[in-house]
Amino acid sequence: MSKSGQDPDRVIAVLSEVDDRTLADALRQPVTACVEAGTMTLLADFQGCLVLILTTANAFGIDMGTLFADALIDRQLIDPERRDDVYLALHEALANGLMHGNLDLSSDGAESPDDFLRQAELMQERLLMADYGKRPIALACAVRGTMLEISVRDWGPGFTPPTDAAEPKRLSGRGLYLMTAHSDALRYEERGRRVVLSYNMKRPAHA
Amino acid sequence: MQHDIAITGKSLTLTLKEKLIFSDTAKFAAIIQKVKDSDIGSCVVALRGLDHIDSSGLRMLLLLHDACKEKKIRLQVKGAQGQVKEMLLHCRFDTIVTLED
Repeated sequence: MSKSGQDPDRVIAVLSEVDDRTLADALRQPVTACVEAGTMTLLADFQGCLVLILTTANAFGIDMGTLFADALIDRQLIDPERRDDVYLALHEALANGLMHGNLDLSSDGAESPDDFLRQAELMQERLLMADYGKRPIALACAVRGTMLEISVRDWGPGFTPPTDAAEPKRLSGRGLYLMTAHSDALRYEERGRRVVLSYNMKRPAHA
Repeated sequence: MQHDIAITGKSLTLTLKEKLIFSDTAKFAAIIQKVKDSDIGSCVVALRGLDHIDSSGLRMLLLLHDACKEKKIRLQVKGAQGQVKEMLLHCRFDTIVTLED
């Protein structure tokens, strides 16, 4: 654990190994930023009360959404009754960022079982390739007024975000629908590379 | 995802446990490949031990359905409950496959 030179109040945990238990331990207070070794230089671009940066290959085997949501509950930033909402939306945002962002796998590219088999093979290949597997994925949360904003940033090619949460197609679009359904507001930034999920901290669960 | 595959005669039973999510893509692709390569007449997907499914997991089940349809394999989905059942109903999976208890 170390103090940041750029932000003296920032307490940083640097992970040399990444697994669920190590990450859960590293996210405990007073840590405000948790980064995988080699991604520290990216930290300056992320402000907020909790930041987590992992590489794609390691993020794939980790339940980042659950661990991050639990860390927010631990810091009393979200009501425990809203945990499922936060987890479900965050999980879908992470899945999109990793699969369609960092691994650059088309969301429309697996319309048949054979397409899916090819895409799964491509996914496995790319996870092992440094150009894809080492791409970072960053989670950050910040409080703005009564809203808690949780952002997921990927390093993929970006995309043109939809103007509204259209009815999902049979095999695609359901992730966006779920993110919208399980957050109070959603917006895209940086040409689709960053999705921001907002939660009204004063809204009771199930309101 | 934890899973088990049992083949008895012409019937394959796929038991899924814990979570079915995007990071299970490769494992589930192997399952679909096994179904495509097999000489079965029916496929039972047992979901009682499955606690969570995401949008990618739903897509995988839909593609398993498509793979079964291509090979004229009868598909049964059993035991979905909680969030998994909610998601299946939400995407109207019950209109293409009967969800059995």
